[in-house]
Amino acid sequence: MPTITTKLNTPPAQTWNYLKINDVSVELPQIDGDSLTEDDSQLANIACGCGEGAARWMFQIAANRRTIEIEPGDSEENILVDIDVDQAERSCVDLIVGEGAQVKVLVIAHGQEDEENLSSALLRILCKADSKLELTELVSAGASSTHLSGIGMELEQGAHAEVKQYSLGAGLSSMGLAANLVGSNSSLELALRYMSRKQEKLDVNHAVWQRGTSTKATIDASGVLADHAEKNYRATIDLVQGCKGSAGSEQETVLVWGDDVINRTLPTIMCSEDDVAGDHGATIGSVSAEQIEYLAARGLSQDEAELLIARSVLDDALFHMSNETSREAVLRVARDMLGEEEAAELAETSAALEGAGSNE
Amino acid sequence: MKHLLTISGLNAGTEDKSILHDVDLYLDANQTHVLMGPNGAGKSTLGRIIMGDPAYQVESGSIEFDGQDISEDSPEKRSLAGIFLSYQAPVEIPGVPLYSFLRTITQKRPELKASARQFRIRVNEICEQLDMDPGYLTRELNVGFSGGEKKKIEMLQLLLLQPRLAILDETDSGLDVDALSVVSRGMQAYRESCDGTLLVITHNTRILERLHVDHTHVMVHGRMVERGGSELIGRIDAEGFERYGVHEEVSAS
Ligand SMILES: Nc1ncnc2c1ncn2[C@@H]1O[C@H](COP(=O)(O)OP(=O)(O)OP(=O)(O)O)[C@@H](O)[C@H]1O
Ligand SMILES: [Mg+2]
Repeated sequence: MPTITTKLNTPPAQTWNYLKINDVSVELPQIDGDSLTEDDSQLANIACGCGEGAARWMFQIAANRRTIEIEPGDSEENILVDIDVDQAERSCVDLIVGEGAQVKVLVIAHGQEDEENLSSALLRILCKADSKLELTELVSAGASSTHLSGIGMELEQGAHAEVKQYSLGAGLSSMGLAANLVGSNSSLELALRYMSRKQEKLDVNHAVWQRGTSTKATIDASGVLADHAEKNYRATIDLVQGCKGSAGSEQETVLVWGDDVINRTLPTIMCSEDDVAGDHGATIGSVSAEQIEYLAARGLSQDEAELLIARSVLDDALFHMSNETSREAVLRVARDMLGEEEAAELAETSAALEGAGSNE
Repeated sequence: MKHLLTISGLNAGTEDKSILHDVDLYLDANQTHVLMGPNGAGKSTLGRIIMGDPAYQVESGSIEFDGQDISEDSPEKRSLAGIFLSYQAPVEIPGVPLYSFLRTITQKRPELKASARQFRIRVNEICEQLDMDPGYLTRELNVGFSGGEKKKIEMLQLLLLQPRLAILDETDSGLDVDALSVVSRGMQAYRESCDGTLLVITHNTRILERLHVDHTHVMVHGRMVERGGSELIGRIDAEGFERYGVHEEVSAS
């Protein structure tokens, strides 16, 4: 099959190529001109962070296209986008969250075969005024697979989005996410958690535009790189002129385990408005001295502290998964990393805790 | 009789500032002690030095815990030996669920090792005791919690680890009535649940209401100036530290 080279995850501000992380190129199968469908979705113009070309491809290639509309004021807890990477599944979901509605979405890309499968998930979301979106994404797939994820969202006045992305493995896990905070008082809490091991590659682009007045955005990334893993992470917050009273912040912590990992980060805050607060906390290359000291005062050595932080990526992921497939996808990594016994304890604990309290 | 903690002739401070001068302090097992003193007296510094905070240096003197000189030991070793210091501002650790943290610090202690199930039951009991939402357990350690909630998390660890010496350094300012009551209930539960010794550093004596205080110590300008019984607390509440030559207003929240 003929392929085209497509650039993914290009950040809004192109910097000089010194860091060589402006984008990542992948070979995508060319789509036959006759089979192109017109994208007449109301959400067709929502940027998805993975890049326009990639988003177009993901739309066209999707065997599965759905539009979900949540009526104003309604609440829907179980929206599931399930991608079987081993089956090279490709989906596109448009989600319109009506005024004041509340939704919980789980997007999972799971697989275990060591095959060169290519899967994708494109998700375009419009959050209307005062709606609330809770989005959890998990990528956990085989060592030679490629999974492309593109998520775009537009937040109207007073809308709030809480996003947690977990990438626990794939040959290439590509995650693009763009959020457009157009409405005043809209807010985004975005967290990225990852575990990349062996020869795995993780490529992430977060792009947030704060346009409305008094908007709030926080991006918080942390994860572990081990063996020969490679991570490229771009985080951009653009405080656009007119977004008076807005605040945006970026923060990253990376735990680097081993001498052969590649860890690149490009944090950017752009600002064309005076009356705002933007900050990117320094990227911390390991656990901070303060954190080590606190953990030491509770009896953990530096090595034990790091081990806790590493395994916590899996614990935290499992605590946030709400269905059997996603839990199993996390546990597969846990068994490989921690062994059968610890994975079994983790499974039991997570099941019991979920019964015990609200899982916020 | 051997004391649980014996500090003799301690001079200590940071690299370029000496803070504690000739401090003597002994604490016996199964007691409640209170350490009072004006702002900047050196109370928190003393707590940190007992815990082994590398930011401070011991110039001279000794610190013995359970008959062993611990002044060269790492904080980690002191913690495992049974010393606990609650932080005024507990550190946030994004990505680490509270539950995973608790399980890890408990499993490191041979005397507390428990099956997954026993451990869960114990943690849930303590949550109930502290009126704490078990939903907190799957949240990230100290991240996004209010000041009062962070105090609960410190209390949870105190009750879980049952240390032989617990030093609670409370900045009472910033704690509302509910948080004060959480801390005070936590201290009471700790004293009732084991024969550990409590050293409470405080300006706010309301926090002590539920406790029987055995001894009160007063520190001023880095020196221990008085050791007495619980009657000292009421007196200091009424008079402040004037009789020790301190004339500043002492914040009483
Ligand atoms: N790490 C440090 N570096 C420099 N100075 C310090 C450090 N820690 C403490 N100090 C100084 O030592 C003195 C004692 O501080 P400490 O925090 O121990 O007082 P405190 O008795 O706990 O006061 P408070 O009641 O206000 O909590 C203060 O003058 C303080 O500024
Ligand atoms: Mg203090």
